[in-house]
Amino acid sequence: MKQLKILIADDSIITTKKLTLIFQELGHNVICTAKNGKEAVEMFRQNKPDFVSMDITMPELDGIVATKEIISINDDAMILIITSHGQEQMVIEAIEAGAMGYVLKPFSKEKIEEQINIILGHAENGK
Amino acid sequence: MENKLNNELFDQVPFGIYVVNIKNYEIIFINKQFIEWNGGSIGNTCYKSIYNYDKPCSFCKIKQLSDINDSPLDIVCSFENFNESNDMWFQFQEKLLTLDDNEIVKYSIVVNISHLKETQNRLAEAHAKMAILNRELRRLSITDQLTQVFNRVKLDETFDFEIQKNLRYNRPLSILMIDIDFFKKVNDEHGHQTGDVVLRTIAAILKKCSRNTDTIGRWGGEEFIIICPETDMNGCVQLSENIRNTIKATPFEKAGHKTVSIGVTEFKKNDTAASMIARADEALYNAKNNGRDRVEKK
Repeated sequence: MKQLKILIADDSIITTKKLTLIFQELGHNVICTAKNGKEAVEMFRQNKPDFVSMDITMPELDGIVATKEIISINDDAMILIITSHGQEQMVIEAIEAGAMGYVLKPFSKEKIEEQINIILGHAENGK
Repeated sequence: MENKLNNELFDQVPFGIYVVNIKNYEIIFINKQFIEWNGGSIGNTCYKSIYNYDKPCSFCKIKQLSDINDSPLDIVCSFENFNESNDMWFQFQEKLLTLDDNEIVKYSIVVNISHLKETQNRLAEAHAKMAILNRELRRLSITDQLTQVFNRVKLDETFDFEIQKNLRYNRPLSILMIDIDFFKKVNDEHGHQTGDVVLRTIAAILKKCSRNTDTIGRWGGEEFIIICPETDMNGCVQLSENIRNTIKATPFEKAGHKTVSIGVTEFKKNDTAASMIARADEALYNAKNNGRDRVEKK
């Protein structure tokens, strides 16, 4: 599988560390990490990652608004939501914003790997 | 005796319990079950020793539980929380209480709901998968697979929507009908694969030349339509000329240089989608008859 350049957006240092480890174990390269939605959009613009892992509850700008902004920069952006919010409304909003996958905490390496594969599959079909 | 019994009881219940002084976040009571799940000990700061944060937690409920004078309200706050450091889900019940020495404390009663959340989260993830799949199906149903621009389904939908908008707000609306000149020759001389490359490349050029608000679709064989809201005939002719020149300047592998003929029309009173398309088709016919590689309006 192609090595992906990844941006992680999460305000929890622990989650960011765990995710970084998982993405590295899966052979990918975490090129930048953001602690809030505003930073995430800025880093996306500057570093053009292939894949974004996005939390929802973050200071400054939440993950749903950040997802919308990233999609407006590049509508082929591959964004995976990783959050503790499972309410139906939140799921719908995130997907309408353009997210291509949705994982609830706690996450496992297997779950993340499955989501990456599904998202890459959709992207190949020309999202 | 009473204290000993209380401590014993608190240590045997299957809930976590802890109490903090709201002034300095110092833990003044914590039971065995809570320590087992989350750590923490009497005398330490709650957000540091339990949650590993260097400032009070973002989900701290002390403010919500107090009035504007920082006195306890008679309410209980109930919420779910995911502990990032041990991957466990908890249901919290919290309340403020003024003790005999006027010290205000917050007590928390905590239930481990990790198993329940596992089931709930699986359902939510399945729901998300379904919603994403639906979005994908919708996309496929309105996309022309070969060229990745929209198909007639989406063109018809957009046309109806724009004409309704037009009738109501009287805004300009124009369309372009584009046909690749001598396309049949490409297929006959170089095979269908080369023909497909030409179609895909031209569709990509159309996307690049038009604006975000325009709708680009494949109308049939080698014919494309672009619907341009908020655009009058002049704007539409400009766009058409840009498209015509860009395509003319693009070399195609095997097929060499290709040109397009374009028919343009704008919305007139009493127009329907069908009447607009018929007019654009006539304009396109004129462009073909007048020598191809040109834009005609009607």
